[in-house]
Amino acid sequence: MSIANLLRHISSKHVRFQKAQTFMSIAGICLGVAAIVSIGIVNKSILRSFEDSFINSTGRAALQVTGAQSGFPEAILEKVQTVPGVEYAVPVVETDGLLSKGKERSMMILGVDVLVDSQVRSYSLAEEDADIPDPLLFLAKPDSILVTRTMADREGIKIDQKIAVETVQGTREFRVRGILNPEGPAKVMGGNLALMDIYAAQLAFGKEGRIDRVDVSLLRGEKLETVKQRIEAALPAGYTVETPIGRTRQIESMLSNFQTGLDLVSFFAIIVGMYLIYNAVSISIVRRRKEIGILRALGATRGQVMRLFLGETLFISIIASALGVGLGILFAESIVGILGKIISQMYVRTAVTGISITWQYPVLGIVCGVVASLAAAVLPVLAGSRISPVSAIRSVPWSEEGFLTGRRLNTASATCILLAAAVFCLYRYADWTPLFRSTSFLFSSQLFLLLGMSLFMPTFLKGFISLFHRLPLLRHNSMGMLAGLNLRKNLNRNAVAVAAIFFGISVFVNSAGYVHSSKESVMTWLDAVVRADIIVSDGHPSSSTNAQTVPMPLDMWQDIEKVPGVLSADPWRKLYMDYNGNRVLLSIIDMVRRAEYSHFMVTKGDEKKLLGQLARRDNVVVSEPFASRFRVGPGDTITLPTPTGLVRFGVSAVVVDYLYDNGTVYLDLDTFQRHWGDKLADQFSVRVKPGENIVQVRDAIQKKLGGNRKLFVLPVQEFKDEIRKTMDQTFIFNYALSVVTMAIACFGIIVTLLASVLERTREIGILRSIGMLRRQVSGVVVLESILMGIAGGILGCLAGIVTGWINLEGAFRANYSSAAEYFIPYGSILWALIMSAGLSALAGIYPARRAAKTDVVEALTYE
Amino acid sequence: MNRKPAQETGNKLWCVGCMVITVVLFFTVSAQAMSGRDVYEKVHQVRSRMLDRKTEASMALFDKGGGKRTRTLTEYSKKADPEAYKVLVVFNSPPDLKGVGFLMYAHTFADRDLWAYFPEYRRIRRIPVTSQDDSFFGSDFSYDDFGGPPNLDDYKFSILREDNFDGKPCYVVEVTPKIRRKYTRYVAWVAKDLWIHLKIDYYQDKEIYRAGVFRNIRIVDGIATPFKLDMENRKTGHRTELTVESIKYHTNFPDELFTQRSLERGGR
Amino acid sequence: MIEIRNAGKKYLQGAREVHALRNVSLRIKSGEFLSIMGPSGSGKSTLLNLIGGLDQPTSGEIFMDGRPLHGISDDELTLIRRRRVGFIFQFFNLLPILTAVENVCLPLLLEGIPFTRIKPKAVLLLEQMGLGERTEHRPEQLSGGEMQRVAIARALITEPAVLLADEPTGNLDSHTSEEIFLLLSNLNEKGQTIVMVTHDSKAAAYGTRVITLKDGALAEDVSLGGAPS
Repeated sequence: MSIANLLRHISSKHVRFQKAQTFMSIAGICLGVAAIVSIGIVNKSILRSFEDSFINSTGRAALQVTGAQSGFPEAILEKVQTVPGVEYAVPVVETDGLLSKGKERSMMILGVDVLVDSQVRSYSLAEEDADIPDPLLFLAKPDSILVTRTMADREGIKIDQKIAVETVQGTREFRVRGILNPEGPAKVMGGNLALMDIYAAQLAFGKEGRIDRVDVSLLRGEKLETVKQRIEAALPAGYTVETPIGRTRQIESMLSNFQTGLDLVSFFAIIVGMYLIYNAVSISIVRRRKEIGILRALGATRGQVMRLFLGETLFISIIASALGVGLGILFAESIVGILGKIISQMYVRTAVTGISITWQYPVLGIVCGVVASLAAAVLPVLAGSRISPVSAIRSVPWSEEGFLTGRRLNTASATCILLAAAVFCLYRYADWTPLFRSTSFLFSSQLFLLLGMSLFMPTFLKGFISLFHRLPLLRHNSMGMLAGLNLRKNLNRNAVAVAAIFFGISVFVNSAGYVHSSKESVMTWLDAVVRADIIVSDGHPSSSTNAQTVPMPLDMWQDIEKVPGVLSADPWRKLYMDYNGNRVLLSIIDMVRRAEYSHFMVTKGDEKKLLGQLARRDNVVVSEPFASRFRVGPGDTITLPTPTGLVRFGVSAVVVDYLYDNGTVYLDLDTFQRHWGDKLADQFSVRVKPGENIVQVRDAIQKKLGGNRKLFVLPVQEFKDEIRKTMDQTFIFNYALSVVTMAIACFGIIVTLLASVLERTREIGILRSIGMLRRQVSGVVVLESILMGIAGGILGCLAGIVTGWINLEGAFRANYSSAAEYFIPYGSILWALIMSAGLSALAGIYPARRAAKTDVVEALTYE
Repeated sequence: MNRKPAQETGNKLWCVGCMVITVVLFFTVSAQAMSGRDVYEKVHQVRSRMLDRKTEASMALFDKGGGKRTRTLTEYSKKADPEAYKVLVVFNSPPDLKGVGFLMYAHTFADRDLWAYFPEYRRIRRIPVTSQDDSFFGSDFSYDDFGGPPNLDDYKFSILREDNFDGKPCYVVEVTPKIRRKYTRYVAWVAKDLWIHLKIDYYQDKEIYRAGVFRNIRIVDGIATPFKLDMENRKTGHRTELTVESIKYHTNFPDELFTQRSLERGGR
Repeated sequence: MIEIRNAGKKYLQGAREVHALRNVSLRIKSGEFLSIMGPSGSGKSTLLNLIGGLDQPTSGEIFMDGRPLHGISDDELTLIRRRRVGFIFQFFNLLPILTAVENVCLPLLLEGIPFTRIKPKAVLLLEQMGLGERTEHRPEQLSGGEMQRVAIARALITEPAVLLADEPTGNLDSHTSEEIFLLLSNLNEKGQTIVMVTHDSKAAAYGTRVITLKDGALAEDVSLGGAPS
């Protein structure tokens, strides 16, 4: 009850009069909670959209049969149909389509056997469920297509209208012969769906005789497990028979890395929120020190004081969390579309249309917000409750005591650093379990290191100050001495502000070092391996790993070679496949022709014998990440799923490949066609006749072949520049992170210095009374902030160098045994130090002004 | 006691007489009253005679917005057995549909196989059995309508009343399928003495969802044939008009005409 | 009612040990108006703090009505302080964000009693102090004397066993000071035990007894009325 009293009468007034401070605290937690809620919702919505897609598009299908990525022979359909227990087995061709123009160009195209499909899927092409005026015409013409009402409305498409779609044969026109009502499969992909007759789809997308999936419905009374096993037994190896939910689970595990990344962001946001609350509460305690003293003198127990401040924090955090939940939901709605696109590009085709809000995330958000706030407030509040009434009333300078003594912190620090070293060693050398080899393990080692070093901060700060005091130029300068002494007075509190700078700088230096070192290696490799003059591609080269491109016919190389100036053109095809639960890249090259001008960078295996082993034989070459992840080397065999079953391939060599971390398998074109029967290409490497102008040849190719399809024809230099840009982009995220951290750290400096200035009001008054100028007073404060910045900067640079090295030695070297030299990024380090000193000096301006404004007389009588 | 024997005999005679009259009346009346099944036995007979024929027809499709599409087709039908028959339908126009065809083998009146052929795909596709109630290539007729006579054992028949339609006296028969079909029952106006349908209303529960009317009855080769067949789908507002241009009965087509190869060649 | 036996207080100032109070023994009777005098640094305030339970002695014993104020937990000391002691400070020490009446209610608010129940009593006290018109004013709107009177009302609301005043008029002009002393004197006549720290002998004259401290120890103990005790 007493707390209610105190809160009502005291806290409420503070909240009203200290609006800026209250706002800051609310903002901090609000943002943190918004991040948690929005990311949680988005992650869930993405998964839910997959589930929905599956459920909607599979209808009554209890099981789905899938095979290799480029489709499997139609004959499999009959095998499945004859399995006892199977009611219907309907074939499906599924592919990405791109509208040649439109607001939203990408869509999923389903090819189904319209005569039987309605047995399984929950829609009917007859009468009420679809608007198809002339079904006979639809069936008779291979250019027939049905679109959903959503798409028709959005793009203004009418029945009997032609639409242009990118296909393997180039841009093709299809005639819309009907519109699907939004039900069942038409709801999939946010309505970005078109339906074709399966045979029409096969023709248009180069899948003659092949299907992507068989959807199976069961006879009544049959057990799922039993029929599943029967189907598996009836099919050759390499086919997957799965329930739709099972496929969702597969997608989930594929996405888990991405989602973990997002979760980390929300975690980071909460940490930031906690930091802001910590600062806000600290300064509040300092400001209200006298008040605390009076309350204690009047008989408030320590517990009551604690509960008062924690109660205030609780109240603010509940409001902030509630706001954060609302903000988070808004946020989720705006980013879910973008994230869906990113996932479509990187992993698997999806369209997330809306967010699904379950009560868990708002509740989680509020709980996190409140708990985090209270946790952040605990230390300052604890310190505040220990203010002795006498010292508070008398304004005796208060120095921090507490259980966070120097010795305890140093022990904790040393433990963390040792732990970091141990984890790293485990990662490097104990590579028998995937557990130790994961990126999160490496990441945790860096985290421990950073934590350890930040715990060491008070001691470091102390030493730094002593060193500073010994500088010869300080002998005649009292301002420096004062600055150092002031900092020393509240070592722990100042150390927290410095730690924030430390963290920001370390991230900056870390990325700089890693980028610099790894980029060199990658560019060198790229120059050695990519030896063509022009690259002809169906998609933008920077999206060379994404899933949304329409391949070109293999034979196009002949057309390219007919262009004047072209010396040779050989194809490249890419295919993603699941290997032992990982998504690896199958890279298909015409080995014989490629060997004429380009070679692999071989790290293991006999380079001379390589061509003989690869050309037209069942041998492959694997990349270093693949070799290290799956522990294979020259002489081993790997088994890959092909449309005709599992095939064993011999590993001839291990080569360098920086472009795909998950592992690449290189295969000869001829071998690929033998097993997969796919006659498509994703890129052509073109050589230009000596003496010819590359740009002119490029234009000629574009003109000749780009007429009826979307082509990217790039001189190889541009191609490499694109790659470099992509690499830079992936590190921009880190740069942004460090800048944001620095900004928050500066904020922390402002608050910490303000608190310290307020505590020293009397002292400042005394100094002024004996003749210190205003600008000298502010000078001391600015000096303090610069010292904090430099201390954080130095330690941060050190940490950044070490963590950058850990990243390189860990992640990089684990995948790529070739030496990537670690270049210490001196330039960036210098810049980092300048940045930390400069930004913190800026941060010190406001507290310095406040200090300078102190009225002498008031300060002296201040008690 | 002398009077009783004469009276007794007289009474006996009278009783016998009554019985005889009753029996005679009974047989006479029952000889004249037909059951629903009887009607359809007749319909079946007539239809079976129609099984060997060649028809040239044009089909007009009207959608609910008033748009019209026309196509022309040729139909070949052959009786294969007492119980079986085969049908080949080939479209002649419009150019987009030229060569599209449909082949049906009825092994018995209850067991039918259907294939369709699309020239631009060069593929023959099988049409699953349960789709027989679905629209025949977008018209309002069903595959069933194009087939031969139905198997009488699959249905229950009952005469509702007698009526006149199009100037002809009819039996109005309610036909209910024993197995699940798209319609719950249909009511047919069967012309007396001609034993062909003049009008059919297909019901889903209480509502008529499809209604057909057959007019312009002419006698060709001794067989009563409607030359104008209209079918309307009340649910979608769609209507199909089938107009017979020419028809020949008692044809004797070879079996080779009713093969998949023939389907691919459009019946040539 | 207050018994002090060989009480001493020392603390660390940097590396030096300071003996603020050495071996002081004293007995204060109920109803006394005691003044503590002495030069600065003599430990007057320290002694007052010990008597009022603001602090605990590092040696010796203190009893209030038989209950020990030494060697007990901080919470127990705080409760005694809340319920049995009233404080008046030189610099008033009112909470600037609260109104006069709220300031007066504060000690009972800490007890958990709802404001509405305390308010009538607080208003009454303020009226007795002549501040009936000023109940809703905040300290910044009050003069020095008025503030001190609010402080006195605050000290009285718990009906404390002893009222402690640390240089209560140090910040007031002579006229107002006199008013305050009269006030205190009146309270004492009604039976309130008062212990006051002052450097002003005129102030001490309002009391019933004067003790003088020097270098942390008791130097003099005089009952007013004449004879030294």
